[in-house]
Amino acid sequence: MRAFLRACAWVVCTLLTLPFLGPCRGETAGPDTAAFADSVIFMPLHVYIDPGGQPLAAYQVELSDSSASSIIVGIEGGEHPAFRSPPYHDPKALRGNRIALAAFSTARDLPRTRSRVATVHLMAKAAITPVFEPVLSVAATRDGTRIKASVRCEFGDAQ
Amino acid sequence: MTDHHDIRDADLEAPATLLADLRSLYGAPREVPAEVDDTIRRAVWRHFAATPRARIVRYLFPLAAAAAAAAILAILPLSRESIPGDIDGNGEVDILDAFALARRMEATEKIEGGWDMNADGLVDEVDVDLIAAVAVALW
Repeated sequence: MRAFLRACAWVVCTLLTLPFLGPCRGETAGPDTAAFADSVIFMPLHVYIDPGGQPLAAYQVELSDSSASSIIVGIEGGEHPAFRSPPYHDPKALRGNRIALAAFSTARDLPRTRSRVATVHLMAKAAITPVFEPVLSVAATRDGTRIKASVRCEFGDAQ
Repeated sequence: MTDHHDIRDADLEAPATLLADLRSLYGAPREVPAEVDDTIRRAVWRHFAATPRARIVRYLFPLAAAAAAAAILAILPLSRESIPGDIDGNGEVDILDAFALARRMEATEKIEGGWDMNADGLVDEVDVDLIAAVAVALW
């Protein structure tokens, strides 16, 4: 009888412990990718910078999805040869919804007008449109002089 | 009610005879000639200039001040680049720091050893990449 009661106690204790064996609370592992599994779309987010006639040699842009409805899955370079390589970014930003992009070029030929400097590839919930508000931290000319430039994001065709 | 202050002020009035006696005793104050002043001043200077303390003040104080100024000037550049990778010394690391180092490398300018981010004895593109990585890092 005593052995039976001990076994029952073990079973009850085990059942009571089960709910606490989940993921650690307070972890910042980024958005839950499982939540995107139902119906997702992939869309490019193009980042444009207009240096206002000045040669754009360096830039740093910060992007974040305030709707938290998308995940960054890839980074691509821009259209101008000076910024064709993918910009510097933190690999931790992938699978998150916040990223800082930066690039520079020491080439002679630099964009002076509105140009796509990078493309961010997103995986997003089909029902919600992500909201990205870019912030241009810095833009500079060939000699490192800071310039006033404008930044804008535009979504490409979703797949 | 009596005003005591008025009574006291009236009592302070000295008699005219007392004032006349005092004047006759001491007379009017005499002025000290400028030559006497100069002589006394020189004598005092000679006396105190000969002491060791005066020599310290006279010669060592300017030297100490110059040394302090030199030390401040030497420390200033170090404090400006206290953040690793802050090439332009503006207090933050951004892509312009990486760009500044890349431009100097391209121009084959003399590059300071303090910019060797990975401490491999070389300042090269790896260091530029490391500064750029710091600039875009998500903390």
